[in-house]
Amino acid sequence: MSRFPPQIPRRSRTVYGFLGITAVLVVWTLLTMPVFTDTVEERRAVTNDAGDVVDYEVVRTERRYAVVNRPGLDTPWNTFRRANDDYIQIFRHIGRSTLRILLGFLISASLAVPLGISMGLFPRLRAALNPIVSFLRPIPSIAWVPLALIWLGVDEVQKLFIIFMGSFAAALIYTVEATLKVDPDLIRAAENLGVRKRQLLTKVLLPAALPSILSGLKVVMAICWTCVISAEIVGTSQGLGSLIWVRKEIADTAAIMVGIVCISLVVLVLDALFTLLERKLVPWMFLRERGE
Amino acid sequence: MTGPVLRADGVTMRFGDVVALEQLDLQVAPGEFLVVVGASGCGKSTLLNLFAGFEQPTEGTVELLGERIAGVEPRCGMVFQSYALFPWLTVTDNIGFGPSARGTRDDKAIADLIRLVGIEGFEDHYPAQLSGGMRQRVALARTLANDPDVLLCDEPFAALDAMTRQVLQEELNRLVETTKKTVVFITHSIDEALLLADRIVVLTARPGRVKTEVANPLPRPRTAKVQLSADYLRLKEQIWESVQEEVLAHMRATR
Repeated sequence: MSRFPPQIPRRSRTVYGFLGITAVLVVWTLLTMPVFTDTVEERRAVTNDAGDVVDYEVVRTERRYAVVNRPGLDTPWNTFRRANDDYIQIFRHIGRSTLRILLGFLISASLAVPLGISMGLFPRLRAALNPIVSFLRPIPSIAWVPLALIWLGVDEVQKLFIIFMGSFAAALIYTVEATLKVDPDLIRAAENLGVRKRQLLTKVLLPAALPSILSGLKVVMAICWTCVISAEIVGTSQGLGSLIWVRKEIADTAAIMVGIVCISLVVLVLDALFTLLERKLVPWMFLRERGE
Repeated sequence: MTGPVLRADGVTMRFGDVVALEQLDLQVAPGEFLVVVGASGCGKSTLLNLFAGFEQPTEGTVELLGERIAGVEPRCGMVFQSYALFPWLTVTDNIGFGPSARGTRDDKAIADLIRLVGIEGFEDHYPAQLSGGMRQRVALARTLANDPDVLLCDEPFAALDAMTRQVLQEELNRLVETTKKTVVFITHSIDEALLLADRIVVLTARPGRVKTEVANPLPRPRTAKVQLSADYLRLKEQIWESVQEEVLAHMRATR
């Protein structure tokens, strides 16, 4: 292979992308196809000489076709129609979840970034907090739901708490790593050029660590989305999480699918918005793409 | 100024069990271009870090203009092999970084420096948009913008291709001849040393000590053409013999 990894032109990539999506829709449709079933037999009792029924014999066989929909999945068309009919409701759910996420994310990030930078700068603080962070990181957000309910009830604070607990450790770890990764030569160069110690933070360390901090926070925002779905299991009737959990009770698979698709789409949109923010804040990281 | 600009007196530098420098004495005269040559791992960079004040010697003293260097010393401007440019700043702002930090930024002086190192037209570029050679020019200008007493160069051209390197060597010569700076330059290239130096110091393999000192009488202004002269070849042979022993010693020690 002369070129690794092998590449195809942009247009082909688009075509294959659509093929992939189409394949999923086709499989989905096939899975929801009506099934033709049931053979009906007419039988007659066979009696012996004493008049007891000893057997039944088939007199006539008839194949009947009943439309049986798999209960686990509604058709793509129904799902789309559901989304279309209920779009005001759905936007309300999206809005509520997004609000929760942004709030939770902001709380998480605004605490994790300063603390993470401090951990990068002060090895004693880092050593003291590392075990706690290692302990918190593997706990999935859903594990905080029971305690959150007991401690905080069912209001918005409880939702934010779950998002915070589920995302804080990750935000902290990304920030610490970003700080530790700063090229030590940059610090030396700045000091050599006469920058005083207290100016180092704002003049060198922050701008040097910012690109990695931001790309870490981008991942954290996606983590916040998984948290909000946990947070909305109980205690709310609003939000995409609540939508899919509530509709589960009546096996409304179309609504659940709409919720799932919306979660994915909203994450994609927020990701794109975050990239725009990155372009504003760290424009020098996007120079190469412009093609020098 | 009559005394030396830089002076290392009985300097020993240990990192744990490793002795990087041992009882090293060295003086740099005002306006002198001193090149330090040595096998890898001989403590060349450690010596430069001591002059810059990034490190403090385990024993002995390091002085600038008769004062002991106790912390990072902005009067000894460092040029790094990795350029160490600030990626978030344009060429102009990189060069103006030192003066800005000290509240003495002068846009005309920056423009003059940009012309001096030959990077006109790239003022608003970011480092990522520049080639290695251009980046090192910016780094040089950034260091000169602080008007340091000494220019410390830590293998600044080691990462460049041979042709760019030659161009930059000639330009550094011209630059130092116009600015009259004192320079301590570290390299493992004897050719580079002969092209640049007034005096060449060969360090021993670890622990580093001054092994040989060679005055370089090749006439200035020097260009790459000097490499064709008989004097050049004689000096090169002399230095190579001295360095070769240390390279072999280093290879034996690390085998």
